[in-house]
Amino acid sequence: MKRYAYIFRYVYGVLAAAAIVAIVSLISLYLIQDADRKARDRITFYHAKSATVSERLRRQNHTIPMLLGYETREAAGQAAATFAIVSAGPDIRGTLKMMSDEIAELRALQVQYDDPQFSATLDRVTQRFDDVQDSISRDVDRDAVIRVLSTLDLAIEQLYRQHSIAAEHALAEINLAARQIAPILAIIASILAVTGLIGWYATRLLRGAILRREDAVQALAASEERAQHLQKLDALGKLVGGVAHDFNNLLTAIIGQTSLLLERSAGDERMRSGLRQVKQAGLQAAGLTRQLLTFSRPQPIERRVINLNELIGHVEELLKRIIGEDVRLSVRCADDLYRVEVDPGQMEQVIVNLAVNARDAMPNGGQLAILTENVSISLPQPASDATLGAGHYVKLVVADTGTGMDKETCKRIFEPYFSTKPIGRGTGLGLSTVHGIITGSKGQIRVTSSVGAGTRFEIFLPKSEATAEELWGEKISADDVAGTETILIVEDEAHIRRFLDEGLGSLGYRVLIAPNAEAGLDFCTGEFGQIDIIVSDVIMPQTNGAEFLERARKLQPLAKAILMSGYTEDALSDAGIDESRIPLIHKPFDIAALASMIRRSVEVGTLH
Amino acid sequence: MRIFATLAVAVSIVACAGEQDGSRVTPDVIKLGVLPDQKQEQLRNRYGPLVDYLTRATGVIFELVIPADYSALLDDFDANRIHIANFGGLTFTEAERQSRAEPLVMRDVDRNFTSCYLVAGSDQRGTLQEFAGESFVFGPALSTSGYLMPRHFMKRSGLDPEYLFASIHHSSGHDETAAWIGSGKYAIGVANCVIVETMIREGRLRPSDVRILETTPAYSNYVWAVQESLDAKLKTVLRDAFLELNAAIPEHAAVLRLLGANAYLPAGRSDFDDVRFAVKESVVHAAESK
Repeated sequence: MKRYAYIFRYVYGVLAAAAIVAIVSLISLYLIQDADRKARDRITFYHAKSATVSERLRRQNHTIPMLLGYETREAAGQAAATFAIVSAGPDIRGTLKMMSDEIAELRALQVQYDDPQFSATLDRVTQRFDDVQDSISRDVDRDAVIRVLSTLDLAIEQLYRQHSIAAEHALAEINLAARQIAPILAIIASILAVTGLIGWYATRLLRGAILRREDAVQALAASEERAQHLQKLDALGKLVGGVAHDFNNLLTAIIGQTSLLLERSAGDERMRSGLRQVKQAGLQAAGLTRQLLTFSRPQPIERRVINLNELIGHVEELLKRIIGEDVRLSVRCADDLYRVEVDPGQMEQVIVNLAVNARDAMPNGGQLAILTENVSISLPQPASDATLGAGHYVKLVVADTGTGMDKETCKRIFEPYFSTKPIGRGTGLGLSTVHGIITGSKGQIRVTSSVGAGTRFEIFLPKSEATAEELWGEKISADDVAGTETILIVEDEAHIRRFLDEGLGSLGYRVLIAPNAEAGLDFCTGEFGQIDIIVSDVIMPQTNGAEFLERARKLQPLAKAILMSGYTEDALSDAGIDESRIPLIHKPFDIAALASMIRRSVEVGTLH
Repeated sequence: MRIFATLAVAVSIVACAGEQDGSRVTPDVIKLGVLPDQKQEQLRNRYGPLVDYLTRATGVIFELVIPADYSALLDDFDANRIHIANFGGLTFTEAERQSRAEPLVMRDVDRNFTSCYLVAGSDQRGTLQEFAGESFVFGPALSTSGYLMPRHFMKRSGLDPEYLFASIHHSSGHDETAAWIGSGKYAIGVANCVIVETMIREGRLRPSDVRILETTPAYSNYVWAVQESLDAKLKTVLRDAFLELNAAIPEHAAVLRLLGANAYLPAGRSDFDDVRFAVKESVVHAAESK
């Protein structure tokens, strides 16, 4: 804009000048009108009044012969008589008085008018009136009287005409001014007004064009910057990809060797525990490496029929790491979720991407909810949802309680390179990739958001009729470890309580959950019926597993017991736990391992 | 800078608007022009006393200028070689159009000028319309009272002379018109009433030969007009010198008698509205005739 500032200064200067001229023209027009009005007033007032008074004076002058005894003014010429004012009646004196007053009024008008044009004539009228008075007051012949009356008449007419001519001149001046100047000024004002408007409009257009051009230049620069950023990411991706690949080879060796060693060191439990931890770490490292690979380079698309819940369960831990401590993650998965056919890697990418966006939208913490449910659409959708045909779908919802977006942003978030993040933070490709993946899987993604209230992504994936494939390792068949016994869990760690509740519950067991020993003993009073198995943590606040089992057995003598521990065997010995008497399961363990231990306890009966 | 330039233009426009074309010319010698309607010597005798009177009354030197003809009077006035001139009605409107001549004063008789329709003394017909189909005589085509105004008034009363009369003729002057009617050459004609009355008074025209059928409405004819550019005060002084002329004063009476006036009255442009209209009308007529 700065480069063009001088143009706008110039244009605005011209427009301002035009406006000033227009204003001056209008003021001049007003002044001319005002002068015209004053001139008209002057004419109306002085000339009209003077002319009226003159006219009256003349009429009075015309009545004198009749007052003197003549029938008409003309008849006076024929009459032979002499007369004097002394012999005349009071009428004559009254008329002369009136005439004198009229002349005085004319003079008063003249003083106000202050125009030398009329002085001589007014003097003449006065002089002739004096002559009339003089001739009437003396004994003079009729011819003399008629002559002086005529001369006064002429003088009055001179004055009368002078006023009408002066009025005529003044009006002519007004007309001249109005004819010559007013239209010119009016034309100037209108031309300037029109050019001013056009100029203003043109300036607006020009300004708009320049601003648009600058916007385009800025957008180009931004997209170049983004392209550079992407190149960097691409290079980094290749590097990471290479490293991850080598890592995977190494991890395969580590995990494989550890498994072999685990088999060979059957007797040495301390060794086994160490190896299990190594194997576990190795497996975790393998998971991380797979994530790295997912993000570092495009994986070949490999669609498989899966249960989305399992996939979510698999990435849940990763998500927790991504979203950090301030954001609470809640996952609610529907039972009997339909199977969907997707590339599991891509689907993980989708969930992680959405989680990353959610995290960025919640800098001060909040809640990230992931839900799945089955939906059936029977009717054709409204126009905006035209891509969703009737049928069965799995709906995946990823919702946050973050800052949200306005409608404009919502419309654009799936555009490639659109990003609300600071330059260098986001690629602007995340959501467009998500969109691409979902539509590529014949699904649909929708977003609803409002500023300050958070954002909700809904993903619809069509139901697949095929059977789900096993993706994450061999599982123990659920039938082998299922049961209907009542199990009391005593565990101070809430996560583990929940895990056990859900896990055993899903296998058909009746599960009673107690966070501590006191609550556990309450369950044993018989109010909740016969308890078949008590699963207790070894180390708990205030008491330990062994003491608790002793007291519980007094209330439920038929119950069998299993201890859980995250500690080494040395620590157990210190706590008075004898593993040979009471079965012990080490953390971490999977639910199948615990369930199979439960089945063994129930069927073999190891108590006592 | 542009703003100031534009402002300057605007201000000068306004300044021009405010400034009237100033009356500020004061010549050392005022040239007084007259219509060359008589011989030079007669004109000098007639206007000489007026020139002397004006010189005495105003304190400014006046000089009589007698142009060769009417158009020379107009040219001289236009070229500012004449400052004040005595125009006929028609020549005044021309000078007014050409040189913005400003009417100053006129004789008392000039504001009530009339033309007389003349018929043979023995003719018994009483109105103009009764002479339909006769031959009509106007004065010279450039005469205000002999042609321009009577024709104008006829038209104004709804009579079209070119249509009403069998033929239209032009005499060389008012006395010729009167003579032609008197001799029975033409049935009807029109002439300057002042001249007709003078001819009757002087016995040159016998009422038994020529009768006045009717007279036209009054119109203004002769006028003393000045250059509009003359100093306003000088115009007033000049006008007042004319207006001061008083028949009761012997030396003034001599001047007035020579000029055929009882007194002078101020004259304005509106006094010549009728004449101006008649001129316009005749110009249109002349154009149509061609």
